[in-house]
Amino acid sequence: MKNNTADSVKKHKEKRSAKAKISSVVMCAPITIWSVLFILLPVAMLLFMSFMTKGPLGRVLYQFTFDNYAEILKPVYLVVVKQSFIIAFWTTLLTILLGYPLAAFIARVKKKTSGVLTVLLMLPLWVSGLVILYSFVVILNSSGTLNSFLLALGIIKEPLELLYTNFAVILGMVYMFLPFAVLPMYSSIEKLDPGLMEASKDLGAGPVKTFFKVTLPLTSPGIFAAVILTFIPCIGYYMVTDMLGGGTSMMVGNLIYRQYTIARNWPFGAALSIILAMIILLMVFIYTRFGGDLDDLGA
Amino acid sequence: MNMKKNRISGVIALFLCMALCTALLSGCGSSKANSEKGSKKADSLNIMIWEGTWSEEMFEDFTEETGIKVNISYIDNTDTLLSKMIEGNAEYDLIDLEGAYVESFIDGELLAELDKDKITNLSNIREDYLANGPIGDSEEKYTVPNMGCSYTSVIYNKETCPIEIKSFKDLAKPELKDKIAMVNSTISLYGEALAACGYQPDSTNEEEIKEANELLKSIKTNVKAFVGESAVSQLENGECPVAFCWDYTVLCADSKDNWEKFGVVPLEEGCERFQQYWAVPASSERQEEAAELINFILRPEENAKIYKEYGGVPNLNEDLLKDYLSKDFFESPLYEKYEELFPISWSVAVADEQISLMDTYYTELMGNE
Repeated sequence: MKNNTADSVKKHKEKRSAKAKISSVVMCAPITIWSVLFILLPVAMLLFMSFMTKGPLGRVLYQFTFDNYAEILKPVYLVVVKQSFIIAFWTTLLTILLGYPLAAFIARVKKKTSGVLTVLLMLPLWVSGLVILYSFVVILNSSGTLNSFLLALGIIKEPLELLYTNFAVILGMVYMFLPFAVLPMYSSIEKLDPGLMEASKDLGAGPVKTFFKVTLPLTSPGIFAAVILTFIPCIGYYMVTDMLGGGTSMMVGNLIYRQYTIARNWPFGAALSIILAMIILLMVFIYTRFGGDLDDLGA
Repeated sequence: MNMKKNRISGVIALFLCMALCTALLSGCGSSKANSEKGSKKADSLNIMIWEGTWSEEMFEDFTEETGIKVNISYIDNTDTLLSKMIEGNAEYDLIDLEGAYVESFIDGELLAELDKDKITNLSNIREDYLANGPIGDSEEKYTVPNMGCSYTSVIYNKETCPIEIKSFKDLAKPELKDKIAMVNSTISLYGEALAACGYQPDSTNEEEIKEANELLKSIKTNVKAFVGESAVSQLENGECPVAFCWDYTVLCADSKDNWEKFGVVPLEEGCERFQQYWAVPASSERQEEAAELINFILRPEENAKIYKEYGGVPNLNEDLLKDYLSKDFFESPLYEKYEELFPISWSVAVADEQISLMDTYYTELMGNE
C-alpha cells in the first residue's frame, strides 16, 4: 500500500516536472527565437562578413581575409577613432557634471514633484533626434530665434556665430544624452540612506567631506552606469557633429555608414562595427568587474 | 491559482510563438507570386524615385488613364539601391537613376534594354540631352533623361561674398574663412579639385588624387559646414555667403528674390554636370508597362506638372511646354546660367577603383582636424 502511494507520488512528481519543463520551454521560446533571429544571427553574419573580401560593385566575395582588421590600424582610421573618443569623453564629462546635481535635486524633492520632473526629463526621448537637432539649427543660426531675440533686446549688435561651432556640438550632445545620465544616477541617489549623511554630520564631517567620503562613493555605481550609457552611444552618434558642428570632422559612425554606402566596402564596415561592439563589451565587462549592476544599464 | 496563472502564461507564450513563426513565414513566400505573367497586362507598377521631385498628380493621371496603379517607393541612397538590386532584394519596374551610376548598374547587368519603339514621345526631349547619354550608355539604350541637367558649382551671395570667385582654387583664399558651405559628395569634391589642378575629374592616378586632396585640405580650413544634400538653408539664412553645391535650381524655384540675390560661377576649370535617368531593372516583368509610364511622363501636359510643383529646368523642348507653364517660369535666370554652364561641364561615373582611392583620402581629409 505504502509502495503504491510512493509510486503514485513519484509518478505525479515526474508528470509535474515534465509539465514544468514543457511550460518553461514554451515560455522561453518567443524571446529565444526573437534573440536568435534578430540579435545572434545578425551579429554572427556581421562577424562572418568582416572576414570576407570586398568585391566589385559592393559585392562580397567569400574569400577569407584578415585585411579588414589590419586596415583599421592605418593611421587615417585611427585618427577618426581618436576623434570620436575625444568628443564622447567631453560629452560624457559634461553630462555627468550637469546631470549629477540634477539627479540629486530630483531625488530630494517630494515624490509627486520628482515624478513630474522625471517625465519632463524623459520628454526629449519621445521626440525624434532629427527633429530636436533641426530645432537647434532654427534656434542657433545667424538669423535664428536666439540671435533675433538678443538683437531685438539690443544686447548684441551683430548676430553671434553659434551654429557650426564646438559650442553647438557640445550643447546638442549634452542635451541628447542628459536623460541617459540622470536616470541611473537618480536611481542610485534615491537609494541612499539619509541616516548615513546624518551620521557623518554627527561625527563632525562638513558637507563637502560628507559628499566626497559618503555620498559620492555610495552613488558611484550610478555614475559609472551613466558613463557607460552616455559614452557608448556617443562614440557612434554622428548626427550632432554633422548637423550642429557642420560635419567638418568624421566620427566612427560616419565611417561605418560610408563603408555600407559610398565606399561599397561592406566587409570593412562589418570589421569596424565588430571592433566598436568589442570596445562596448569591454567597457561593460569593466563595469561589472567593479561591481556595476547590469540592471542599471537596462539589461 | 498559481497553476492557472502558469497555464495562461503558457497559452500566451504559445500564441506569441505561433504569431512570430507566422510573421516570419509570411515573408518567405515567392515575391513573384504577385507578379503578372504571360501577355496579360499588369495592374500595378513598382517605381523607385527621389522624394520631392515628382508630381504625384502625374502618376494618378496615369492610373486613371491606363488602370495601372503606380506604387511609389523613395530612394534613400543610390549605393544602397545598387547593393539591394545586386543581392536581388529589390524588385522595381522603373527607377529614377543618377547618371553617375548608370555604368555601375549596366556592369552589374541590372538594367534592361529599353524598347524605344514604345516610347514615341522620346522626340519631345531636348536634342542636346539625347545626344549626351550617361557614361556607360552613350547611346541611351538603357536610359531616358527624365529631367534637365543640374550642375555642381560655386553659388555666392552677390551682396555678402567678399571676393570675386573664378576658380575652385579661389575657395582657399583667407577672405573666405568660415564662409563656405560645401557638399560632402566625394565624387563632386575630388572631381572639381582634380579639374582645378589640371587633371581629369575621374582620374585614378594616386599622385593626382593626392594633389587634389591637398587643395581640398586648404579649402577645408575655410569651410563652415559640409552638407549632405543641400546648402540652401546655409545660403538663405545668411550662415554662408558661398557654397559649393548643386542647389541653384532649388534657390531659383524657392523665391524670386533669390534670382537677384545669388549668382552661380562658371568655374574656369568647368563643373560637374549631372542628370537623372529613367531605367528599367532587368528583373522587372512589367517592362512594357514601365515604358508606357515613361512615354506618359514625356507628354508636355503631364511633364509640366513636375515643374509647376518643383521648378527646375525641363528635359523637354521649351516650345512644347510654353502652353502649360507661366511666362514667369521661363524668365528665371536658371535657363541662361545653365546654358552657359552646359558647354564647360563634364560628367563622371561612380566607379569602384576611383571610389576606393578617393574614400581613403576623404577619410583623411575629414579626420584632419
